[in-house]
Amino acid sequence: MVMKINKINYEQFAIDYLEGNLTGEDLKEMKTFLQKNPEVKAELDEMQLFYLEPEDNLVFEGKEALLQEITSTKPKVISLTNRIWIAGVAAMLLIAFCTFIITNKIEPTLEKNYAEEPVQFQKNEPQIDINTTIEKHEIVEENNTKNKLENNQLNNVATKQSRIPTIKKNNKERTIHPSEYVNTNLKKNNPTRINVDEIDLLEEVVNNQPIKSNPTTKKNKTNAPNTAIEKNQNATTNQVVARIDKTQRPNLPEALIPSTIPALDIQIVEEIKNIDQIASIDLVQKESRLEQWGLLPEGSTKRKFKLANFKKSLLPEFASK
Amino acid sequence: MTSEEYNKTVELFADRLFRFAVKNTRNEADARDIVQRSFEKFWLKHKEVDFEKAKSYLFTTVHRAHIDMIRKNKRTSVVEQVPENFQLNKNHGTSYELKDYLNIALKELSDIQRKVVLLRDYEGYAYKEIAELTNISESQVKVYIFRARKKLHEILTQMEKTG
Repeated sequence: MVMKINKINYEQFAIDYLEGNLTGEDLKEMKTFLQKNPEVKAELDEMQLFYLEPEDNLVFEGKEALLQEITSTKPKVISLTNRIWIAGVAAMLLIAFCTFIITNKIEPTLEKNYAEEPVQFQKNEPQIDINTTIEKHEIVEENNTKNKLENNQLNNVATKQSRIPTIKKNNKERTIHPSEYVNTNLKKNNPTRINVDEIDLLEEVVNNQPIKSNPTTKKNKTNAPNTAIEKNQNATTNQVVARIDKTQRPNLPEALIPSTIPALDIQIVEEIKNIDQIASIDLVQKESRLEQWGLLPEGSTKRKFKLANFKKSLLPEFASK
Repeated sequence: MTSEEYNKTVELFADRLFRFAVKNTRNEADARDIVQRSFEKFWLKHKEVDFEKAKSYLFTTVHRAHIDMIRKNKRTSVVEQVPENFQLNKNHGTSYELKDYLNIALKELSDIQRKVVLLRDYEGYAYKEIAELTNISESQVKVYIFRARKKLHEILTQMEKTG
């Protein structure tokens, strides 16, 4: 919309009119206004335009004082050779770091799988299937006054040994068949650790077995500890025969399970299981077998061996104390 | 802009700003002080200002500094009387003489009239740019310039008549 030019606002169009910059509708409107106002037209026609020229002699003296120190903001350019060197060094460091990580990751894994991780049993299972999961663990439990004393002594020693878990269980002595736990090679290499693990294993086995007690048997054994055959014939309820099937215990390190089980031990277990059916058993033969295991106390005619003796045979520190 | 570009603006615009300030303040010492303070402000903001807008920024700064100086000193526009022996000799006059006359006539303009004319004639700014620098409308700029031209014409015509 073209603004209508009058005496009030003509000044803002006048300079463009004088300089020849007014065009189009504005120029037409301006000419119409000048026709209606000849005094204004005369004023503009006689008006000379004077333009100022800069004075070059006027200069700012001492402009150096206004200058500032130049700070380079351009990024440093790294040559191609230096880039290759830097990349090479970075790659070598990365490889070394990865090698270090991988090496340190494998070692703890092996240690964890075969040595540090304790044998895990599922305690939720109320009972262990004797025929399938336990192949050859014999745990014979007796309440014997003499054995109680030995067991108490053993517990005292076990308490002092922080690495050995407590094994007392209702003040009952547990007699264990040692052949499953004694791995001669492992004992030589690392006897303490392996023995402790095996004791843990034994403890789990004992905990998961429903143990029955027979007070009459206790009396009999207390009164006549040397009549082994008669005691065993009356103490079948105190015998817990277990067999551990190593194939069904994947968490148990392979090294902890005896690879071979002597046929003689299997025979003894079978004989003990069938003690009620076997009327006559060769005590001398059994004691000789126990002697082969190295667990038969000197001068003892007892057929059964005790947990304390078993531990002494396993742990040198127990034997010394 | 970079510090290097800032130094370049000093080389390009220091003299022009000084001239503009001298014509407005009519005092070289005041003009020098205004230009120096304007560049100090400009250095503090130089990273935020593009090099292409440095000139406008500096002239605006000088213009505002001049306004502040006027308010501070409560100065009024001093109209210098034309010297009695002043005459415009068209026949023998040179461009230098005409420039001198114009400078005398320029002093009789109001501050805003002088400023817009100087920005127009000295620096070649468009009316719209002058409006942005002085923070007034473009129409007002054209009015001020028209009145300033008319005033210069009247003064010089009077000089010619008296001379």
